[in-house]
Amino acid sequence: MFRSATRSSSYSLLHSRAPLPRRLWRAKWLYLALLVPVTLLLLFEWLPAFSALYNSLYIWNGGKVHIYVGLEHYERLLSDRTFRVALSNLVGFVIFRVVMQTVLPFFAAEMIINLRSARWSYWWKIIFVFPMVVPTILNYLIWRFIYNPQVGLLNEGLELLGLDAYTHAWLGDPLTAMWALSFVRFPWLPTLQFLIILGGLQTIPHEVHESASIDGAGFWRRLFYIDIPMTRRQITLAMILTMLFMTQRFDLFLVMTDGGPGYSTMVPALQLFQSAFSFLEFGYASAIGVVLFVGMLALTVINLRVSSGAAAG
Amino acid sequence: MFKRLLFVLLLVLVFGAFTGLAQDEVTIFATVGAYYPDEPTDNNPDPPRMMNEIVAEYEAMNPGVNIELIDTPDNISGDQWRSTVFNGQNEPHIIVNNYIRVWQEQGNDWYVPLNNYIEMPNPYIPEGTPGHERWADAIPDVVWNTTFHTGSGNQYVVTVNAVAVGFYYNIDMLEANGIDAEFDISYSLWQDWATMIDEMGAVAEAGYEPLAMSMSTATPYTYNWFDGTSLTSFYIDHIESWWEPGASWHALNQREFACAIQNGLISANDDAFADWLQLLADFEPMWVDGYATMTWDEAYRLFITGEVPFLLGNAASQTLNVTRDADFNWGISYFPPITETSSPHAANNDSAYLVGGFTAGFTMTDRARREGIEDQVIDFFMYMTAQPQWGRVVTDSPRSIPTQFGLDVPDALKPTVAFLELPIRALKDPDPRLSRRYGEDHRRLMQEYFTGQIDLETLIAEEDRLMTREARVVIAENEWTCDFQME
Repeated sequence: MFRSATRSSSYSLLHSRAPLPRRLWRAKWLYLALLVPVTLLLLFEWLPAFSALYNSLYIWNGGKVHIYVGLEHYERLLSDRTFRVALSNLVGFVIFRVVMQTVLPFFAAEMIINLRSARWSYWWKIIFVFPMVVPTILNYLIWRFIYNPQVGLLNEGLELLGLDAYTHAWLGDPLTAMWALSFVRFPWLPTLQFLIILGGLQTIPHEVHESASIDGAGFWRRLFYIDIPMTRRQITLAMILTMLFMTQRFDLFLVMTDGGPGYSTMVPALQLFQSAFSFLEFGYASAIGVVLFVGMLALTVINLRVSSGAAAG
Repeated sequence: MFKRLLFVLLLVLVFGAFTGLAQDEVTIFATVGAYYPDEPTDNNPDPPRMMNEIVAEYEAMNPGVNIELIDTPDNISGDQWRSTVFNGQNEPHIIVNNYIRVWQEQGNDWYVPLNNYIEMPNPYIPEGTPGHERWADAIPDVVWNTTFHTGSGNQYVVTVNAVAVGFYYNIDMLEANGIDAEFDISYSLWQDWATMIDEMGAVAEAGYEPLAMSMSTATPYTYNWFDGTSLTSFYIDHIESWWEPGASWHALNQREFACAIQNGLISANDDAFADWLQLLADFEPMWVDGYATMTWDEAYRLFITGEVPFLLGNAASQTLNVTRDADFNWGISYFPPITETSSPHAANNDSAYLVGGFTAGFTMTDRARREGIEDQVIDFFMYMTAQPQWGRVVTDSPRSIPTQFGLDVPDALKPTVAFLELPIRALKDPDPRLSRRYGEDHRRLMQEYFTGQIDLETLIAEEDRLMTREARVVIAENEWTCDFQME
């Protein structure tokens, strides 16, 4: 009762035909309430973002040295071998993780939707959501131990199975290091993406599935002709979020390998961190940040366009 | 009535203000490195405690002065920690520092020159003990000469400790495999580098990974020690001609090394440089699997559990831990000399070089100046480092060899004192040699070479590009000239 009254009051305020100033005045508390989060956003999100753009045009050591150099940092990025390698590492890593972190949560959500027992469905949801409470850093340290060449679980397991020949310094070999990092958090069931897709699947009306069953559609036909098309927006959102999270991720690389051996696990976000805090090149770090931001924005727009185009088609 | 009330109110305000001024307190923040009085844990059951007593005594003598000891995080490098706290203007007033780092960072105006302060008497040093009349006299000249920054003419660090690094070795394990583990101070565990490689090769053939060490770029110091000390052996004959005029024996500073590159006195295209790279490449198979991303703690665990017979570590601070944890007979050696047996370009010097030396001291930061409390900070600085106090700190937890006159070397560290007699290596770790960017890229290039991602030719070309670029950048950034170097 209360909820519907509130909704109708806000709705009438914003959509009445009164002149704009009057409407604004009437909704003043609404706007005042919004002012606080908007100000905080401007201060702590937008201002640093735009200051990165500004700082990328300067040599800045984080202290007194602040010299205008125009686009020099962007030119340097073009010829920076580390950045090239980091970008190529990132592309492979992001593609792998986007695929895994979309497909596997989707199947996990499908499994839960298809469970007949509400109790089991509930417990499975708990199981999938539980990893969210495990601190990320702890997770990385566990994986570091798993990959330890001398006493790690992976090599010990291989030895137990008589597969000694396959034991390896997983993080210490440039051929396996990036794969090893890609497998961190296996089986790739991130809670947020899982919940988004599950939410999408739950909005599909029962009648649609029932009609499909009556028409003789099996699991795979239902999956490809009903579930995937009807959760396209959720899948797109999960993919975009994964792409954004993975592109910005540097803690994984910092804790597990620090970008090594050589540059084999270097990614732009880690290079940004090192440029700023190891080499005091805040201007160059800002330029890397700006390029990453533009890249992520472009990919997000493309992703949205493609998915909305496909949905319209 | 109203006037009376107003008068009383004013009186209260004025009294309150004066009381507030009188009670104005000063808080001095300080890092004390390995002497931070931690809480005991399973891994560290007997942490140092003495700094708590020192602080309590000082606070009791100086009401209104609070001393806050700060622990530095161990999950980021010291460089990253310093750049974060200094840029946030949140740095402690006193921090533990290595003079080479201070040389690199002095251009940021982070540290207060101590030239005038070390000329003052230190009232906390007892009469008759060196340093009472003039603080600088508490520490031998050789230490001051080592840490003096010729570029600015300033002394930034009071170096109270000396350290040395070395190879810990498991005597039981070596003897079980028929390897002589007799250490002789005149020639280390091995007569030269080639013998070391041969003996470690024998250990490898017996089925063990020989040497636990870390080349993780996050904690690269272990690898850096090989890097600097072995490079010194290849260029030692030329070093003196690279020094700034009038300088006494010292490790090359950034300017001298950058100018040597710019003036063509050292190049990655030298035959000696290629030989040096090859020497390290021949040594690399002796390192444990996964060294490229291994942390020092992981390397330590391998040694202490008897999985590997050798460990490269800090022969001072780690000795306590090895004494506590090892259930086997062990010893410490230092780097063997690199003679002509190892390379025709080696300097054929019978001596190895000391890694470490007078590297652990205290600096006063610009925060003391910003807050106008330099006098209070220097007073605590003098108190903490004066022999009566510092002697107790080092005795309580022997983690390094005290440099001040009148202090005894703790028993546990006596075996490593002989290491300090070795000549100091002239070429330091890659980062202080030139720049952090160089150090980072150099290590990554070496890792690429060691793991077969690039060949020697590419490595030399990339090193040449890197050295030339970084030398040019640091010379330009600091507006240095290089006309002082004449071969």
